[in-house]
Amino acid sequence: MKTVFTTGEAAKICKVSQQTVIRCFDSGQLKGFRVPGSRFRRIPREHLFAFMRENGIPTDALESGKRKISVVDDDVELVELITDVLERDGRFEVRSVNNGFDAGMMVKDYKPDLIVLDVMLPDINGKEVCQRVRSDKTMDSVQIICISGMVEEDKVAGLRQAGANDFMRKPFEVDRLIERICQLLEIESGAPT
Amino acid sequence: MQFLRCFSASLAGIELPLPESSADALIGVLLAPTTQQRAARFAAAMRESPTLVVWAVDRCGVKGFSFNLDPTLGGLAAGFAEDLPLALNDSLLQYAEGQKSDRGQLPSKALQAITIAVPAAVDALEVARRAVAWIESGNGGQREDCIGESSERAAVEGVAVGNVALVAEMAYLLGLLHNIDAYRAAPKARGRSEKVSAATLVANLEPYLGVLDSRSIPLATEAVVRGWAEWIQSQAVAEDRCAALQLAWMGEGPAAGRLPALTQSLCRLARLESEFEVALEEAKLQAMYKLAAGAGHEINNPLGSIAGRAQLLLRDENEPERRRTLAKINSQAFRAHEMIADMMLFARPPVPQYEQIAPATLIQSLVDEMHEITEQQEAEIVSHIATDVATLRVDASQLRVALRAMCTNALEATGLGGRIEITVSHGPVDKVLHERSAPVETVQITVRDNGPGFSEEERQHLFDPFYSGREAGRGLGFGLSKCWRIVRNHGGRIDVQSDPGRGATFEITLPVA
Repeated sequence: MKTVFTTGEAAKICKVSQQTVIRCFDSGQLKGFRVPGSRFRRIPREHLFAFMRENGIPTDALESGKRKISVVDDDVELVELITDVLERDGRFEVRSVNNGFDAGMMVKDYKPDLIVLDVMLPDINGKEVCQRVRSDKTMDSVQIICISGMVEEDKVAGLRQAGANDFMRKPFEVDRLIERICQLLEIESGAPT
Repeated sequence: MQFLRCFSASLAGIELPLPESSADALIGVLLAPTTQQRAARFAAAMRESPTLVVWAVDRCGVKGFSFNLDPTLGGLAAGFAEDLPLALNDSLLQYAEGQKSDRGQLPSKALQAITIAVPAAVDALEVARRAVAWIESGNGGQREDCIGESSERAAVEGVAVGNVALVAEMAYLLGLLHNIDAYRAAPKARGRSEKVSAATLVANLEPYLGVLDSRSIPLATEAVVRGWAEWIQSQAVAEDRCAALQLAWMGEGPAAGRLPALTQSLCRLARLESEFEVALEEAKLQAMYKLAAGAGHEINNPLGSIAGRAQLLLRDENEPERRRTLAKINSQAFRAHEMIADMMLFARPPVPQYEQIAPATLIQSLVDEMHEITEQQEAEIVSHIATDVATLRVDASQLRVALRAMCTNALEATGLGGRIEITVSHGPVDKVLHERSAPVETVQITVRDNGPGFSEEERQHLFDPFYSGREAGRGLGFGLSKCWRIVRNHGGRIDVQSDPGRGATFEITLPVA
């Protein structure tokens, strides 16, 4: 388990900007230390935990230390596959739903770091889900990877416009999916040791 | 004139048919050196016996002879008009009989006779009509029946002996003027006669529109219109139909009132027909697109599971044989996906994103992409690029897909050690890329291989997505269909040439925009 965090990592966990973390660090609200020989700020886990509790920030992200992923797809087998892949990786916590309506509820409640979203859902289409997520300011940092069995190039452009960060076709290379997730979450790709 | 008088005097004693020499003799007299003489002698002969004259004429088949009589000869012509139909009928029947017995021996002579007799009769008929008008004797029912019968007979016989365009045509003219039943027989004759163009027929019909008008036979007009409609419809090519109608339009009178409407409706039919073809193709592609899109969604999900699961298993697998198997499961799932993607691309290719690209760059990138597979197959791709082709204006990635499909197809055909030659050069300017496009400057990309080539049947199905000439090693899957679609989407065309056993050449012609 990670015991020391950078200001960037702390910002992601607290879901605030890095500037805010730095300001709190410098004012002493958030305790930590500077790396000897440099000015880099580091925050030990327990201080971050205390800071989050004092300020009413949900601490579940810190508790698991894992990044939260929502998987939205109506194909149960595929959801199972993606969940499997992500859980095996060890760095992710996964929740899944099978339709757009549940996706909306879950996203609000679970506040994932990233959504793996099937474009063709039985109730509302993926584009609309993207738009809804993007219309909520508190979810600005949520990353969205759309996946689809068959979407033409021009529709992919439409999805990006609606707020999708990336797009993958089914079938896909599972390693590529992990890679892209890592890229979007700015964590090192490659399986953790 | 002396001779003619003698001849006439003895006429009562002579029975039809006259010996041929008599007919010759009569014609010899009639064909005087000057026009004036000829008219005078002809008038005299007509006064004596028009029947005889007609018979002599059609019997001998004198070239250049015609019944260009002035209507002022009305009195004579009236007599002529009385006698002509019977004579004509007799002679035609006689020829018809002769046809039956002599067929194979003297068909050409008999046919020649008929072909001369019938137009002569048409001229004669015209004279007769003027004469009848002149003496204001409107009651000619019997005569018309008679002529109708003759013409019908001529038409039928014309058909019986083969492709006698003129007979059929004349019978048709006669018939539609005078006998509706006979004219109905004529289009059948015409149907078998391929020599008469639409324009010829209509040009021949044109003068008679006026006649119909003056006679005011509504029924005949009706018949003409219907006859034309029938006949015009029987023409294979839509353009011919329209052209024929355009000509027919020039007519005046009652028929003219109907013809424009008829023209419009037929032209519309012709247009609808071609529009239907286009719409049908569009609908087929649309249906295919829907199928592919549905299949894409439905099939790619399980394919995703198959591939993903295989990949997960592969991660933990160390045993080489099992690793190979798992890798194969994965790659085959992707292959199935490619097929659906190809189908989708064929049904609805994306709009080309045009860019300027040097042909050398395009071909080089293609060769690079193909490198691995050509290496495997010990094949080689060589390219010749004409220096004067500076740039292509194409969707480079789409065109690369098309060319790759073409090369892959060629490699499949050649097998090991094949040789593919790609040539880029200026194409002919006048090459029509689309049915309706005007000539434009073109560039040609040819892909030639030294494989076994393909048969005519295979050639026909080469771009058909549902045909696989796998035995011959070509036309597998959607490759070439995709290629065809992309080129067409670029406003170009593909031509193929092949002699079985001597390789194949695919020629892409693209407009230089």
